[in-house]
Amino acid sequence: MEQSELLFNPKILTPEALLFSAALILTAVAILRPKINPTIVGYIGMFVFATASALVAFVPFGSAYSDLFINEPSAQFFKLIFLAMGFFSVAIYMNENRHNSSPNPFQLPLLILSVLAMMLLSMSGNLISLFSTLELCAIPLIMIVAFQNSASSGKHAQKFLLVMLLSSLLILFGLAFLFGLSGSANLLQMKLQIAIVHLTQREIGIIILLSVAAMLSGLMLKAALPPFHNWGKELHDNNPHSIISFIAVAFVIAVLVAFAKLFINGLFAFYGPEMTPNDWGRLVSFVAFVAIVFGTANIFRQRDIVPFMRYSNFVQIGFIITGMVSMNQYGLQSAAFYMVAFMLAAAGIYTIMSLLKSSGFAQIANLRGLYYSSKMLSVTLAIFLMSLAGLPLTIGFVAKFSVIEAALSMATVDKMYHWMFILAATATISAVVTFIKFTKITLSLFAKTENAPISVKTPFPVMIVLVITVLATILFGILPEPLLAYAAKISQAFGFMLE
Amino acid sequence: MFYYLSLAVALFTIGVFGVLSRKGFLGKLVSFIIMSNALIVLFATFNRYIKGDGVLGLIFISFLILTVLIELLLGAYLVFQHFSKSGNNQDEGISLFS
Repeated sequence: MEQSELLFNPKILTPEALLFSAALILTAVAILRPKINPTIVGYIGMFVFATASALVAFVPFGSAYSDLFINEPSAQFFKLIFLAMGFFSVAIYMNENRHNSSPNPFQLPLLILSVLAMMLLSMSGNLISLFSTLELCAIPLIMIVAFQNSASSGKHAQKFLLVMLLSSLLILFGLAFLFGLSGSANLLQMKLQIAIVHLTQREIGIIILLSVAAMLSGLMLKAALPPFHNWGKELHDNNPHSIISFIAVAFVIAVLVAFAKLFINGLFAFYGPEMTPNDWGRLVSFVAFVAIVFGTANIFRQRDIVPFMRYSNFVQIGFIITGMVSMNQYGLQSAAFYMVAFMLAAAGIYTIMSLLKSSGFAQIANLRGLYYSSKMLSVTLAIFLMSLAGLPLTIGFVAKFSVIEAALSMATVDKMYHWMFILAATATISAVVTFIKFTKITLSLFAKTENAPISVKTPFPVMIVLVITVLATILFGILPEPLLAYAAKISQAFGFMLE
Repeated sequence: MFYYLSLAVALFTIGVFGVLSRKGFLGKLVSFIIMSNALIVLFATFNRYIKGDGVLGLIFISFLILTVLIELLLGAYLVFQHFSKSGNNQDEGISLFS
């Protein structure tokens, strides 16, 4: 984007203003009428997210408040992902509370506030706004968990809060050194200043390594990536699907956006083996490697659907980080494309899981013969599972292929980057191995059984989600070019020129 | 500058050690306050020695205090909620990594 286009323009915050107003109104409604029908509130929430998505597509690019927030194509891309995930979570919330006489009335306004913070995070052009918005993404989610009507909700919220505090302070510890080195909080200026410091003062010791280690461990803790994954187990097992789907997909993508802004943008000069000991490239590659191997090894042991999805998510996040760590024009493009594929499949599966849970399903074995009781549901579930597996003609195939291609193209740049071959090989082996597991589950949906599951009725909001996600999964699987071209703008925004 | 940075790193390490070793929720929250103090020292040092009379580090500090304050208030609410729900006023242990 031309610098002249980045003029001060408060109009760029119109979708955020809409979300903030909606959150305030819905909070007032929740206080004054706590027993209001969740279906009515849910439809209002879906309308707000749909309207905000339309606004995001039309608001001009530019900056606001001295570059605290910059609206550019990459921010627009991530904002649409967060809004879509908010929309899907509202539909799951409506399904979960169809027959609930005392739903949590604050869940929807808090969800909207969290999406608002994520949108601001994707626009943040400054370390201060980045840190604040990353914090504000988590606080509403902690409150949603705390307000649940279960005996252990307070305990889960306490743990969630402690982990978020620890991770935030670790990230801030790393940020403090970046601020100290660059003397600037603006991400663009920081990138330039750190590069100048690197060129003029070769002896900066292990300061960058200390900063990278603190920030990376903080971000891994927030995203519950292995080896810091255990805190998320109780949260996933004891909360409704509307919350866990949002945390597992939107919140994790928000953390990855923060990672991209801090590492790919801010620490651009310290990537590669020649920067040893301050190289962050191999460190982050190792994180992706561990996530993929750990997730792949564990999905075979899972019998329940929720833990199965949790371990499957590790593999998907590992793939996204593999794309991000491939520092060429295809890397970020493939990672952004993978985020959409992951979001569509995970949202679809969590929606179906919320339907099945209300009918008493909790284990993978219960899905056997689902086709003979709920034809539409089983076919859509099969499409999502095959997309996660990477079957051709689904978006998952193009996503996996483009990530592995980006990793290989980075590995062939120079001898020094040959370690990327290991990551590409791991990703390929994982894709093959997980394909077996996903195919096994998919085939079991169509297997004949004497105890076929009972028929499940699909409510209208869930139908909307399934139609959107299935259509997008197949459409972008057959015609990926428009989405790939859109994702390529993210590479450009981060300074990678397309050939 | 070196002494201030050493103080900040030492305080931060003590805070991390406290978070990992204390079992109770309140004990962990107090350790977070020590870590926050370390970060305040760190930003104030960088602001004084790198930026001269700049205010950027102070803005960082004010945002840090604000966010930690919000989270501590939320933590206080959670403690109150837990005590009133369970009727038990013991600060039970929380393990962050299991």
